Amino acid sequence: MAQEASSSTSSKTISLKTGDGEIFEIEASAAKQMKTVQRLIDDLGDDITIPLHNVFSKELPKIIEYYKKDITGEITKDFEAEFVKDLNDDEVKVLFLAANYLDANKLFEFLSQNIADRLESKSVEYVRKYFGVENDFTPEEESKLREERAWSFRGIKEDE
Amino acid sequence: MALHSNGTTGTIASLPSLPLELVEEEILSRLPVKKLLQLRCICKSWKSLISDDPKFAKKHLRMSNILKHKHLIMNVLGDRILWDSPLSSVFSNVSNHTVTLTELNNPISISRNISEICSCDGILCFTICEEGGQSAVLCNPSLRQYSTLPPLKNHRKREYDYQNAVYSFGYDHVNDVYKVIAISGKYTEVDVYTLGTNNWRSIQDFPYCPPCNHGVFVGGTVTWLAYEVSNRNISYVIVSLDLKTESYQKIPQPDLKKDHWTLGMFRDCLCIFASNKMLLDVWIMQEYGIKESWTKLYNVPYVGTQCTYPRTGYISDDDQVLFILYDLIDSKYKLVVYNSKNGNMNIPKIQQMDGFMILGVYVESLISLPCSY
Repeated sequence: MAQEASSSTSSKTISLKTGDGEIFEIEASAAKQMKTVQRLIDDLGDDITIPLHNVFSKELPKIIEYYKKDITGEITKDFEAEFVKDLNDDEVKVLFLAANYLDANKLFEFLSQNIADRLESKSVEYVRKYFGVENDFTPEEESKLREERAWSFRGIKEDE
Repeated sequence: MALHSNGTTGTIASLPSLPLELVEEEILSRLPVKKLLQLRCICKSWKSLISDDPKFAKKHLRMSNILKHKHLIMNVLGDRILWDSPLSSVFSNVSNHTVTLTELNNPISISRNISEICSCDGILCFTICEEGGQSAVLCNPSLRQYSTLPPLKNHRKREYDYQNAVYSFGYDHVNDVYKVIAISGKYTEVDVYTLGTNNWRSIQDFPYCPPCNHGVFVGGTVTWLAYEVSNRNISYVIVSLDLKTESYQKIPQPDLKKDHWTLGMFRDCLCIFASNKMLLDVWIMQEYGIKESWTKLYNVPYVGTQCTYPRTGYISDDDQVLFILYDLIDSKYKLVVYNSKNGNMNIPKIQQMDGFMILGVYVESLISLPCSY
């Protein structure tokens, strides 16, 4: 994550326009952490408002908040816990997709771990719905699978 | 390394489903194996990913190591039960915490005496002592899979037993295969079994007096503590077998007093646990094969008149040392955790452990064992 030692970018801000037409400002050094944004800046120049068709006004401010902390080196476990505390599972998913679109690696990895942590205690049905996956097993096939590894569906205290 | 999404809209009204590549790469690889086994039911492509995809298994193994999804396996000598505990529970410093134990079902074949446990990439290799001698059984405890090996005695067809073979286990990263190494106790004959094949292969004889205990998988080798006789003196010698070339090398030792030694591995470096009646020193070879790189890592002082000759030791990433101590006062074997940062010795509360313990540490893994021979 080397940052160019260019005095002209040190206090420069970039304008980002969301898919639903709102404009947000972000520091150039934070924009650098989002590879998609940086590529667009390289192509279009840093004076133009960068269009982000797949990111919306609900998510972008949160993402900007994360990277604002990142460039000052202030991201701690406490900050990260606080960052996701009030988000429900679907809101985290939307942020996660946005982080992927923006190629914002650090946020992407953090959110992947957060989603994994949330799903650890959820049922198979919940996970299926969450990812929008169709069940292509027949009921017999599924119950056979469950039987095969019945122990994995139990809690820590084993009955056997 | 984010992957290209398929341009879904992000409005609240139609929350997008996730493209499969994102899911498999990042999220699933962070889940514990138990959860992944449940998620095999989700659909056919997920089942295939979780159970039949070696590339995903490798990625999951990397994450498992990073996220420290590790467990301790314990067996009391002579007892039939194998106990499993998450390492985080063993190292917990919450007061009055009782270590969480799960009984690991195991087939009859290993419920006799386990004398050694080796570990690599989430696969354990048990050495079992039976009446006829010793044999080895492989296990992936995360998947509850067991695999027996072809009998060693059929390979050499000798009248004498191969029964006291010392078994070790490791990964040949060049050929992407796992290997079991057997050194016969009586002779210096060495045989290798490559997982997925049907038989043992003989390789060069062991160049020194054979080791009593299993070797450590470190730096692409299996390394043993063996013995050398010179000038009617018997001394320790450290010997490694490169798993790719299957050739031996003598590894220079540190100049230490002759205490009791055991080998271990920490941060992919070879370690020596050197103990006497008063203390335990842990030495690490920072650069494999370089004598000058032997450095003392920790010094663990015992309290009182306890006496320990640890057969197995494990060091956590945050510098806590786990070993077995025999308390002369209580006449009991105890598992001890020494925190090298603050000097505290903690004896985790573990029920059911009464007697000499054999330990192993494994990382959760999806690496599947080939069918039992």
